[in-house]
Amino acid sequence: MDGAKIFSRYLSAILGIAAVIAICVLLRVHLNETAVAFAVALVVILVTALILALMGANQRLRLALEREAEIGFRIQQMLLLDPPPHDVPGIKIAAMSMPSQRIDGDFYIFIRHSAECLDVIVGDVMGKGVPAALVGAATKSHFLRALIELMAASEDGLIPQPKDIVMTAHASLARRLIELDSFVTLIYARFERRQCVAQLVDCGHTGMIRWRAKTKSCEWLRGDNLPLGVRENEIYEQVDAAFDPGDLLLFYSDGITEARAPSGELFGVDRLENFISSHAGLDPDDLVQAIRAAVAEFSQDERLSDDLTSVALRIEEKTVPLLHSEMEIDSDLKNLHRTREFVREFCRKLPSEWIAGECVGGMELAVNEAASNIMKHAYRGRPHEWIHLEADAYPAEVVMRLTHFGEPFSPAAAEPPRFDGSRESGFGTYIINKCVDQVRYYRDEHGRNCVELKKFRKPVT
Amino acid sequence: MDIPVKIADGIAIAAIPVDELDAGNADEFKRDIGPVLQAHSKIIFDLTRLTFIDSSGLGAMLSSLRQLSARGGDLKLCGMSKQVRDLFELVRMHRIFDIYAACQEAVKAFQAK
Repeated sequence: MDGAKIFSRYLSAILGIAAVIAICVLLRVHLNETAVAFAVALVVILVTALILALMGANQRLRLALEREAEIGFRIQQMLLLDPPPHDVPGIKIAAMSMPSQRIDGDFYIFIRHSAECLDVIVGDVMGKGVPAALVGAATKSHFLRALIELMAASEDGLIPQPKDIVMTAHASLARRLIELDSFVTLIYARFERRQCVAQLVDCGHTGMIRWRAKTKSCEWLRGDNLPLGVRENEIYEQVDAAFDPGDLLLFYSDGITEARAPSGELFGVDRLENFISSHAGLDPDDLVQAIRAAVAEFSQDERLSDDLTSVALRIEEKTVPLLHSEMEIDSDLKNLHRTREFVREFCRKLPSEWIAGECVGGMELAVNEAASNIMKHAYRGRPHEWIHLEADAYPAEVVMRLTHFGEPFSPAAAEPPRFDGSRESGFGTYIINKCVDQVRYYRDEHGRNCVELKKFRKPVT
Repeated sequence: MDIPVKIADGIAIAAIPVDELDAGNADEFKRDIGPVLQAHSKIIFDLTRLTFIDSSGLGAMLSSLRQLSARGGDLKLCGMSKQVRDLFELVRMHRIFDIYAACQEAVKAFQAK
């Protein structure tokens, strides 16, 4: 029963008793003390019962709202906030979003067109709660549809320009947003790693902060387009910006700059700029967490009044790979020799002396062991499952990556090998760690499990 | 796999018949070397043909050694290529096995006892 119904029922009872008493007084009916005491006691009991019933109803309502908010938060994390890709050569990306009321309309999308071309879309829907999240989800799907339509229509196979994607998405979105009385601020950024150029379409969003490695200072990149859903036939313009290895780029929501301290002071853009300048050495993952901590400390309030979202990218020295090769195999143990041939073939194609002879043998063994682990353990011996093998050679390192859909491997769970000959198994992981310089187990943005093996190049004397 | 065994002077020399011993054929090896391990107590594995061995192949060798030792027998290895030797040293198995470069040395070592 909701609070209103409870209240009205009890109130009727109390008013009824009050009316009886009033009538008795008016008619000068003699009420002896016992009757009066009885009537008063009855009123007190009813009032107390009313209060308790209201409290109970409130409690149930609160729990129901919390449960729904929790579900909403998880939906947002799963569907609106893409996990940033981890293996884009030359770009390290991290993203963070903390909605103020457990769910809101912030979203980010990462689209990888190729090894050299990455699109990042960061959006903020006006409003809060589930309605904003729904508009966010719809906006996201309109953008993806616009991209698909433009790519299908592209005659020369070129990827459509960001401004065209924004305009196409807006064409179908604008009317609906206007009717819903909602709008979306958004920034669409395309990073062309080879030419070191970013193309930006800023639709009323906060712009992008760039910390330049050359000058060790921050710059702002902003457009002056309107947000989506304000004017139906708005033309969206694009801005180009060059970037260099070492640069740090940040997209953020105004929840950060508009956070208030208890004194009423705003966090502001200057403070954010200074924060980035003084933390420019951090990895993007650490930077987005540090920003969140800084805002929480500044506002002295764990419960934020507005959502915090930030996406950070660092451009790395790494250039596009010198050589790339890939292959797919079934998880049949009889295919192990193919992984070894793949490694030998790849290393053979590299310039002579690129990688020393025994390093090739070590890499071959490491890839063999990693593949063997996937076949035997991740896939539990099932021979018809998918394994993808990829090799990249960079100026400073050679990277081999195995991708699979089997169970993820946890290095911590692997027992250390026994060197006294008392155990026949358990050498695989040890061998891998000894043969290459860096091993990483992670999940990629498609939810697949990856094993990445890196061998750093030492200059050959 | 068909494992040719030469017997001389009470010593059995089993020539590993594959170029590569990995997780794909290690179980087959273990199965087919079983009778040889049962039938003899002084065994030499001639690894001359072997160019690659992985942790599973190594495990099969260890398994052979342990089976033989349990019965009071002895196993020696010979004819290792550099790549095979490197793996044995990486996991310190060169301290567990008796390894000889030439198979004649392994035979002599058995005869010396």
